[in-house]
Amino acid sequence: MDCREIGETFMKVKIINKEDVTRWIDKIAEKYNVLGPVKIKSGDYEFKKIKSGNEISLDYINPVISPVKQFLFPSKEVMMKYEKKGKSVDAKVEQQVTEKTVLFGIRTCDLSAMLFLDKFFLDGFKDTFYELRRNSLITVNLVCTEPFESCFCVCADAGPDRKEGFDVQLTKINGSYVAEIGSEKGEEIVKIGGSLFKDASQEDIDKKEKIVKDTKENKFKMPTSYFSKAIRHVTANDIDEKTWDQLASRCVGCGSCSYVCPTCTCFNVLDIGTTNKGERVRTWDSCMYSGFTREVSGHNPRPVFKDRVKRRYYHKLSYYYMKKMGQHGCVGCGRCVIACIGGIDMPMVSKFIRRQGQ
Amino acid sequence: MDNIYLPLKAEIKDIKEETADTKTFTLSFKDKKVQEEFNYKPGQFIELSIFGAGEAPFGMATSPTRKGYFIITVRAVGKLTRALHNLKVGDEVGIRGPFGNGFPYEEVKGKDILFVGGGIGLPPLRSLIHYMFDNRQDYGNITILYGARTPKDLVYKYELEEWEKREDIKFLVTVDVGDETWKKDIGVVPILFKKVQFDVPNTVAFVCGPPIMIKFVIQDLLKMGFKEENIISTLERYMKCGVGKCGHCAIGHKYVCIDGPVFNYKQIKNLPERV
Repeated sequence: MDCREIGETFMKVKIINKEDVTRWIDKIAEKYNVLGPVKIKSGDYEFKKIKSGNEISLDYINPVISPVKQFLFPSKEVMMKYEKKGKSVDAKVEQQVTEKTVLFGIRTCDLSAMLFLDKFFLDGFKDTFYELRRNSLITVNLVCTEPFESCFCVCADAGPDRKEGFDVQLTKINGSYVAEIGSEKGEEIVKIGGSLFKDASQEDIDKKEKIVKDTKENKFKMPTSYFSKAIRHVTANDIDEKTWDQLASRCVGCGSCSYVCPTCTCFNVLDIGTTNKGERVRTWDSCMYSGFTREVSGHNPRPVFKDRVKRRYYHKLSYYYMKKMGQHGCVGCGRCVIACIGGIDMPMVSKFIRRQGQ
Repeated sequence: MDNIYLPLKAEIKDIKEETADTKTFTLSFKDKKVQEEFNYKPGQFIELSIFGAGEAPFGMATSPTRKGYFIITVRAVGKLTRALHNLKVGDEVGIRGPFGNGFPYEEVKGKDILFVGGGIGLPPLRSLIHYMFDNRQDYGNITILYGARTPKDLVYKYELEEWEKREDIKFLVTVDVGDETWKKDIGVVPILFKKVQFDVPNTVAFVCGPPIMIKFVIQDLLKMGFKEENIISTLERYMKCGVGKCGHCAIGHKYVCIDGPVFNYKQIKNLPERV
């Protein structure tokens, strides 16, 4: 049923057999560029261009780099090419208009991260590179029913499912996937599947709701990361220096946390080439590097690890940023838990902050 | 779709040597229409590109009331600024902007104005000083206090003489260390406070200079009874994009590029990081 008439969110619910998902992807790939989770030699998964649904596995382990961030805000991007002609330098933005792309099978935490990135890159000054890619993008996200050990999206209110913001959202129930359609883009690609989809029955929907509820309540192994207290203390700026000292003593300044974080957006801009010819590129940067704020005079407003660890968690958790962004800067994907060799990840930091003053 | 990161071409129209390491560049967009439509507020900044050397922000030192060109005053300290110093009249640079909030020149109409500048902190203030000269009737008493390390480090020397002659403002200058020709004050900028009178509740202070100067000037102004929101400064931070995206210039939840660079002391004081 189309509910738009009665003022509710536009939402249709369909169901597709597990085996038919492959055929659906095949059909989409005939028309669009499809990126899906492909197993690579190391045993990890990477989102790659696929021609057929056979190439992917939807039981994949989340890649360490968020597929959404890698697609919309690549680790290195040529912003413009320049060339000197006579006395004048011509600079041209050479971003190709991206063909319609379906990111198939991203996990819901990454979808939530994308909604965060949307607000960041498109509010105020519009980031043209992001905008162009985003306009071409359609997402199919998976509701996780078996969270990994490092997952805590449920604490971040960013998963395992979403009520809005998706194009198509898939939830596995027994031998089928319930497919919720959340946008016109979503409807477009479900239409491509044609008769592979049937209308979902109320029983299917109830089953789906039950599975999601059970996942939320029973399946998470890291239920320790409730943020509210950390948010309060970070905002009030009343965390004792000893806590920061302890946390910072474990930081080696490698920047991994920023690179793997799907909501980290800081970048560096540099010219590669000579004054006659070259490229202006942007690359991911990290506030955990001392050079991030170092001025040419040598003055550095954040000279020590502690300043930078504070900075990172202020950005992720303070209420002022939440007010700006509508959500805090963590979606509970757990990547920092895996990446940080010092163990100063979001759950650990929240735990440390909660513990102080008790 | 216009790309916010793509600079437009501008030409260097004039270069003035200010000090041993500082030059003033007069710039104008090559496209006349772009130059005509280039409206900015005193206190805003531009991003200047020299491809191959990079891009950096510079506060405009001219008032938007003076049309057809804009100027920046630059000390050669890094890769880009040294490359800029090597350019000649007629050479081309890339410009994006204007960016930032600018000075609250409308809000302070009718008030007495105090400018306190140190060294190369004068150029951004000059933008507002010129604006006020050009709209003199809108403002009360104007006092300008300026200091530098030595007489050789003073910028806009050719203009400071005119300021001294003006009867509708008060202008005082000091240097930390004088030389045989220096007949004026010697000492840090705050010594000049003793030589002028202010109607403190009706005065707004604009302060720009090295961090150590700002610190002592603010202390003195607060002692004199200035309200925190009536002490206004313009900040600098390492910056890339100028449009609130690259993240480098963030202080707490404020971005110097889009929430600043102009802040009053009350705003700065409450930020959770050192400024």
